[in-house]
Amino acid sequence: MSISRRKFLGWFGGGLSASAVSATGTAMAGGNHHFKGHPDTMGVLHDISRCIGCRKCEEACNRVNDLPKPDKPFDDLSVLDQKRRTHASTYTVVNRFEIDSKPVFVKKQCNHCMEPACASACFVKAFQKTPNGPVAYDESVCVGCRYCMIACPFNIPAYEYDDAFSPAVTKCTLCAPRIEKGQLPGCVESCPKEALIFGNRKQLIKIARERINKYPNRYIDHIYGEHEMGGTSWLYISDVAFSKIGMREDLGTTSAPQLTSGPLAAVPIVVGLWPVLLTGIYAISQRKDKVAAEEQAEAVALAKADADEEMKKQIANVKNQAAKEKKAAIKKEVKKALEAAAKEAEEKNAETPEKKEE
Amino acid sequence: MSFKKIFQQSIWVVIFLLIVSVLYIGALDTTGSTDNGRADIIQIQMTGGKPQMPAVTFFHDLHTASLENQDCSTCHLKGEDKQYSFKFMRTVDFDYDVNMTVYHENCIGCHNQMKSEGKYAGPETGKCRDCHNEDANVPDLWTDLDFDRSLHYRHESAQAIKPVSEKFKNNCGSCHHEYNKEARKTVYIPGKEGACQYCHQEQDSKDVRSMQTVAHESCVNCHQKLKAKRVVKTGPTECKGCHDANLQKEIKQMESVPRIKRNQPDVVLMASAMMKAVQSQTKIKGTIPPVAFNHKKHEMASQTCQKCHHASLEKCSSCHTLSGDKKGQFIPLEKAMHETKSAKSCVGCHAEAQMKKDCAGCHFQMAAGKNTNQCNQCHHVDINDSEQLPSKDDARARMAKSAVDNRNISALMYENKLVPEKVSIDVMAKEYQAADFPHEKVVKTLLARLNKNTLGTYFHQEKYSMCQGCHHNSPQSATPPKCVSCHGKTQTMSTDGRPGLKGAYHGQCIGCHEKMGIEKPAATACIDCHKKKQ
Repeated sequence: MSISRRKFLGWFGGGLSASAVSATGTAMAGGNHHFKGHPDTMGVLHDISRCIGCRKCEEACNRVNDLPKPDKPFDDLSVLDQKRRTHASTYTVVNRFEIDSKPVFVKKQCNHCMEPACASACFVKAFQKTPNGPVAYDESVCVGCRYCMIACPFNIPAYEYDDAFSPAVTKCTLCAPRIEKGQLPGCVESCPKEALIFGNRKQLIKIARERINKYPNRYIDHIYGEHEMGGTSWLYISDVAFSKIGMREDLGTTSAPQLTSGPLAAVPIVVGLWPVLLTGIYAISQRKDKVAAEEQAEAVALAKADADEEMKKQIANVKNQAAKEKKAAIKKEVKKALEAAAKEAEEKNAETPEKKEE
Repeated sequence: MSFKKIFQQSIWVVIFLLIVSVLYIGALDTTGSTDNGRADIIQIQMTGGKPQMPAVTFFHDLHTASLENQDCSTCHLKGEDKQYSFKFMRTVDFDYDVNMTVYHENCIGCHNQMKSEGKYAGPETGKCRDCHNEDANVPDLWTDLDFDRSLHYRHESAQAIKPVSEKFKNNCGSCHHEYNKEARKTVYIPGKEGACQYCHQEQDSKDVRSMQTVAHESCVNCHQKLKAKRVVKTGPTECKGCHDANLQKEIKQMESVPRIKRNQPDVVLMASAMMKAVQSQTKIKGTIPPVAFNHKKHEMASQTCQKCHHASLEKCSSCHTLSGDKKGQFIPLEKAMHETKSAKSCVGCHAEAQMKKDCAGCHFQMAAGKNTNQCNQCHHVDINDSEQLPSKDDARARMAKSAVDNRNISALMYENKLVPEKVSIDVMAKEYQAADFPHEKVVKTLLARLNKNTLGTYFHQEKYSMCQGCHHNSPQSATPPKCVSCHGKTQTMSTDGRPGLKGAYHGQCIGCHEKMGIEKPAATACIDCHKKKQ
């Protein structure tokens, strides 16, 4: 069976695109299973309408995590005049927004995504979503690339830039050690208004729904974090539009790993098949040259043989012709000689009768 | 001086100049806009053709302010009735292209003229996008004007507004009219007055112009005329006068406004269900008892007739029948009266009232309108026999009146011994001293504010109903359960969303203070309630 180059490339291209489609379309990088998040994962529901901006959660977070004391004490609420973000030694911040000349307070910390972007961006597996909720960070393997900081859609991970020798990425741990001991996360425990409640994520979603149903005129009919970025362990309900209080509403409902699994799944294919493809193309072009050279040599040989034969033929012809001409010339000469001889004889004969007569 | 030094200095000078110019530009108040926004933003987009450009954002008051000629004639023409038509430079709409020409010729013409006179002028030819710009860049303050009882009375009693003819004593006919289709004329018929919106709806129809058109053509024309006659007190002629949300608050409210008289009853017996039972000769046992509705009292509480009578001044049941039909948009009477989400219904309006400062302290925690054990607060006319229900309207009205008069409404009171004076709350004893909750003071304050309005008094006839504001979800009792009976001492993992004791206390105390406008102690002033531990 012979395969033309065109056919081969056709098959190859078809195979490549089919594998790319299957990777980006339905399946995850690992195959065709769908990860729905860990069952019975824990989370926190933040009811923004209940928050009074007392910063008790910030204080508790600082205390339970043994973080350095900030310059301004936690009961200094003038801190709220500025919008803040999480910081190497601040795992959570409360920000104040003025909506219709009323203050609205929003707590910000790691949302502990169901399928975290930081974990999918980390190439040393320093981040891991643990089955009970927290997205855990392992400092011992971290190489400090800070890809997690770029990957996080909520701008949460911070970095110890001032630590020259062993800087680490820092973020809220959902108080994983406390949870394991059966305690509540520090911030939740200290919230005087229970604007934060800790519990089973599924249960929290039910509670959030109940509140929205009970006070339809109060709440926005949306649980932030139920589906955002594939869902987060930290959930929010609010009495003002989330976009007005610094919470992104353009994130979509697809988790970061799912967004990147398609292109990432194509990497092995590209990496694996590219050398094969290029080598193939090289081999084909090499072979083409070789064949061409062979064909040329053959043709030259053939032409040479033809030419030889032709020459031989011509020589033979020429020889023949020469022979013929020689023969003809001999004949002619012979004839001429004969004729001359005949004439001579005739002349002799004519003389002879005379002689006879004589 | 070295070159470097000169260079440095010149850089500083440039920076200084830049800062000064930025500040100067920032300080320039361009178009007389208010800080907070405008109420005069009009988006001009013509109909009748495919729009070729974005709508024009037009600031109306900005233009009137720049006119010397303070009547409307610079931009508006008078129609056959010698009234201004508030279409721009035309009294009727032409087709798309002609309308466009009217706008372009007149707007740009005027701008050119202003410029030639050396005045500040708007965009000229070629600067299309200066006008055709849908983004106003200013918050829109436009709000519907509620023509409330006070405003109605000010018009009704205005000397400048005269009766339409000598026949009438009142000036109602100056605004109210009926449309006579055959004569194609509006006529005033006394006793037929109603809200403008009953006929003048949102959109123009064949015979009736839209509310927007008539409000401007009638109100503004009248104000304009009175202004021309130099009547001292006239209504606004600019957009913001009626439609600016902030200026609306400054509209004078009359202190005592008499009833608007339109042959309405003082008291109504609402007995549709029972009437039907009587007519169909079925047992009246089990039908809902009638409501003796104090119409007069509700008039005083409501600012407009339309608040309830949203489509006509007829009685509710004439459209909302018991089972609902097309005339009432298939909303049955029961729904029309009890729909929590509609402020036109009894329950909806009362639920709205519960969110006012005096009531919201307790009611903000409760789901609105879900209190089903209060039916008899309204449905309280006792009729056990079909013969007790009078068939004649006036007899029923008399029955209702006596039911209303015999209501024994007394202000809620608690004996001193019933109410604990102080409650010591030590749930946060680790961090603070126990808080002394001034239980009695709180009860007294709540009582005073509850009894301030009759709605509160009326719906809290049951003695311990006010206690349920804090001691919620438990039956009424002189000794309701303490908070700790239901709320666990420590917050645990949430399973039903019920707060722990700390969350429950703070939710109730801070929530109530916030909703009732009690500013002290502030929500974040911990030590105002909990003294620091020694």
